[in-house]
Amino acid sequence: MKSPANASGPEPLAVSVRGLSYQYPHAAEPALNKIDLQIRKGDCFGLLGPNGAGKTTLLSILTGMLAAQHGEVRIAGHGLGRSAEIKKRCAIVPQDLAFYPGLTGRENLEFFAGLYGLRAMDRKRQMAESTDICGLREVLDKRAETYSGGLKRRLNLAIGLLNGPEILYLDEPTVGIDAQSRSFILEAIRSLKAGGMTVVYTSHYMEEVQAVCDQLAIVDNGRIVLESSLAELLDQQQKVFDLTLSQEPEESQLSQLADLGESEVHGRHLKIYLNSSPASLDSLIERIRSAGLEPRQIQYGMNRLEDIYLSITKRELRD
Amino acid sequence: MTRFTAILRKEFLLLFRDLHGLLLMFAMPVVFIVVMSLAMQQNFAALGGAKLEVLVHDKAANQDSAQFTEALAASGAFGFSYPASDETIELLAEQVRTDQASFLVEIDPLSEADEAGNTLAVRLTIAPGVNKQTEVIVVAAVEELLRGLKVQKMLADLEDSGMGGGESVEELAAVELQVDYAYQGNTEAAPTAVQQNVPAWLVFAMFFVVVPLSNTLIRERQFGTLRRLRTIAVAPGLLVLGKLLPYFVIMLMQVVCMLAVGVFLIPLLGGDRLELGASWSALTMIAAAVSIAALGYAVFIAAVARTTEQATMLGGAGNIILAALGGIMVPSFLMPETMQQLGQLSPMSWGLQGFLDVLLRNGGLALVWPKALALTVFGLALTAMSLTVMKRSAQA
Repeated sequence: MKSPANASGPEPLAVSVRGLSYQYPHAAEPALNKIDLQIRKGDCFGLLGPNGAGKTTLLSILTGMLAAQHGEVRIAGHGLGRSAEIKKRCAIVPQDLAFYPGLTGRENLEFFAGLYGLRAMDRKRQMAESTDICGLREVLDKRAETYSGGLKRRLNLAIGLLNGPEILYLDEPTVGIDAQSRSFILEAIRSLKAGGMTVVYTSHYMEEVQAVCDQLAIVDNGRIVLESSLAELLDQQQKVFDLTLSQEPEESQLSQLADLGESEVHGRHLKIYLNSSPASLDSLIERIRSAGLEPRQIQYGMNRLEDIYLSITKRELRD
Repeated sequence: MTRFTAILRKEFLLLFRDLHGLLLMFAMPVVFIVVMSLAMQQNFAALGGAKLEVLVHDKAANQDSAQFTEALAASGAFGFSYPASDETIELLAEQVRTDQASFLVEIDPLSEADEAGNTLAVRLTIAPGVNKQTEVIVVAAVEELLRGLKVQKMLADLEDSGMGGGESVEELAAVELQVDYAYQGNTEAAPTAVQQNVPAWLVFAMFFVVVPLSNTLIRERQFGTLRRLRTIAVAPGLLVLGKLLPYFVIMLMQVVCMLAVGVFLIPLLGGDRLELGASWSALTMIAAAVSIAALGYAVFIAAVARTTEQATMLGGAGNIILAALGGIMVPSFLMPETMQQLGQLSPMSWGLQGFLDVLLRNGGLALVWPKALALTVFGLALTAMSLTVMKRSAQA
């Protein structure tokens, strides 16, 4: 599903990719195969795909780490030939904790701010801003190696904010942290987006993408297999009626509901993939009750991104 | 703060906080230098004037035996110990067998001169700890003394029979050999253990920069820091220079520190003082060149090793092989010719010879520069090659 808004929308583009291909030396297949992608300024764009799908290669090209072999890439209006200009306007927060554990948080921030060539005043301001956004003030003078997993992720993010990037690439920024830290980081991303920053977000946690992204693309086998706005995607896909019942349904009861659509049962949990939209939610609940089932909890109206993702990329293991 | 000063500051902070790396670069060579210099002091002293301990058991106690022991004493190579008369030959032999003395000379009288004209029967017992070279030298010296005594006796007989040429026996037997030490331009002083050991272990320690440097480079690669740095608009050359310069400075500090150990610490512990030679510029040149070579080697190990464990093992083992070949652990002159030629391939050998040029041979820039150039080319070539390998593997 291609988002028509992207092709003709009035919003200026932060990233524009056309016919991008890349093949690693000695690889049998290209890592990227004629990719087309457009990311609007100010959007939070989710980039999804299984391991080895080509996400990292795409991010590496967008951030200037790899040179594109075929196709056209424009970042913030600049071709990749002007990599210095692009690098000034972008930043990446890698999946790895890409800082120096032997330095304090402040020393890490000072080092990276120095590399960005910030003047003293700008450096001070940017460091303060990044520190506040990521909630690091209290631990700034402790060595990074003593930080908890969540603090390390926040320092990783803070370093990415030092140059005040127009486009921020986040490569699985919440791997291996607790719920509190994850919630903090997602909130920080929302506030950055609210401030006008374009965010490109890759994650294997679908609920995170669902929580922060406006647009998304699914990459698989080096191709974009889906690009859409999140709302459209969740709305247009087949509706799922998810119920938790008072008791486990019997075969005879389920057969009475067969006309609604295909169903899955796991104990007291019943999931019906509806053939068509019901007239109303009440009528749907009435059908369930008429089959002798009593719903205790229901969920309807939105698809789960994870279900959509798995239906597109299939369930086979990739590595 | 400029980009370059930011890189330098970060690198110095990391370096000074790497306690294990610092211990390896500073404590290890200090221990090596102190232990080896003091341990080998006697070996070098033996060559440089200290006397070999000799027990003399003179059963003849006649004019000939007195003449023989006087001649031994006059050679200056032996320290004599005349045991008490009640000490049995068995006890003396036990002292030699247990290395309490290096040699035992037993002098027995002959009732009359044998067919070869000898009037003394001399037996030399050598302690098990005496090395082959010393043994050969001592045996030759004793034989030469006996031969000299015999010649003197013959000349005296000739003189007594009126067939002499008017010159005294002493004048006829006299020979003069001037011995000079080609050491620091000082013909009267022999090199000491500290003079040999400080440069050797210093070069060895400088190459151990491979451990901290390769580990920090590999960690940057493993943690993704290198990847992040590549997304920032900084010239790669600046990153490399900023990374290597602090290590270069630390290595020069290492040189100063180790030389100071030789000059100040070793004498305090009873060893000889290190003499620094006359050419500071040559010393600086060879120190800088060894640093560049060692840094190139470290970057190369970082490029070929995948993990810090691999780098530590490869770098450490490589260092030991280079040191063994390069005459650090075993002096080159003790090696067979093939090994000596093979040793010429070791950059540690070039570094060691460069330092010895200054510290032993009193050389200046003219003597040192070929070795310094070879080391510099070696270091720069390895660095360039390694960076190419790293760049390629980052894109693979």
